Amino acid sequence: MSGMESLPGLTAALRRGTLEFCVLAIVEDGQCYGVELVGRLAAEPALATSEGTLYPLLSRLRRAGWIATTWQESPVGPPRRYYQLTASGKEALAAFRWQWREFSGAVGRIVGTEQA
Amino acid sequence: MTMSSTPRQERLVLDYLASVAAAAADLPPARRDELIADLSEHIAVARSQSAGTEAGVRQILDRLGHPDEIVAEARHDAIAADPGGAAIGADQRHALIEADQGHVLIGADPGSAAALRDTTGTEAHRREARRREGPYPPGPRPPQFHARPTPLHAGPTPPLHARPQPPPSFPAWPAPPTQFHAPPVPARPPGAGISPVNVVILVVLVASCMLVLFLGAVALTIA
Repeated sequence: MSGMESLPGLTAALRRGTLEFCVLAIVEDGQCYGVELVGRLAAEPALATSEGTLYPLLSRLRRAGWIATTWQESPVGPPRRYYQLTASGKEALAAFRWQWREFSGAVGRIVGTEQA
Repeated sequence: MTMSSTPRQERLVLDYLASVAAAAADLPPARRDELIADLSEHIAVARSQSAGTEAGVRQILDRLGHPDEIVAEARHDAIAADPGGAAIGADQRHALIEADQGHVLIGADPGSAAALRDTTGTEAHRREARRREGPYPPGPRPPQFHARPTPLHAGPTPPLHARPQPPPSFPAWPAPPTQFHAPPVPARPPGAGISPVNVVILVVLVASCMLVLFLGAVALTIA
């Protein structure tokens, strides 16, 4: 699909409401520190997100109780804040996976990117 | 850091954080402080892993993104986290999300459509423009999502089935040292409060009473 122009505004609209769950999925299999986490998401060109804009999102997830943080010393440099998935975050991620499958399946069948 | 940081590098970082703080002037103070703390931590950790050159610092800041964009995201959240928004039901909220996004995509509100357009697609162009303009000019801010009339569509607040627990209070920065509590003072045994002066007074009083009684007895005997 390279060379295809993305529709104005569509990436931002798709990102809203899905990016949070990408974060939850990244920390699902083990904790991750901030620089590592935002670097991984910002490295996906299709998500079109800068590293800095992920920090307000992480703060939101923390307040919702879906992720928790702990400080850990590092052999190099300052202490790092590690992010982990909480029990309620795990539930939210499971619910999202179900809903996303339904949603993207329906859209895919209708717009023709997936077999009916 | 493999090389010691120079005042110039420090200046770059401080200018960047000052730009974020200035852009975030209208955020609730706790949110603003949290954002600055998160970004400062990111920069410190990323610098500890980079070559320690000025170009390395510039790259870290460039990857973080423009202060206005970061603050726009935080501002959006500050409104979406409005407790009034949390009071509505999940179905209602989803309806609002759909209505809101449909509204924007069909372009019924040119301002909102422009806001969305501005946040994607031309990132590379804008970065290039910024590089030419120098560090974070105080020019007009990009249109922000919060200007929209129904800011209830975002955030992880839509609880899918289980309500998130009440937000844990944010541990501001490495935990402050626990306060030292002096052990409680043991209760004094009864009588311990009597000082020698009191004892002397008591003795004098008792002696006076006895003297009076003695003299009285003597007087009665004589009579």
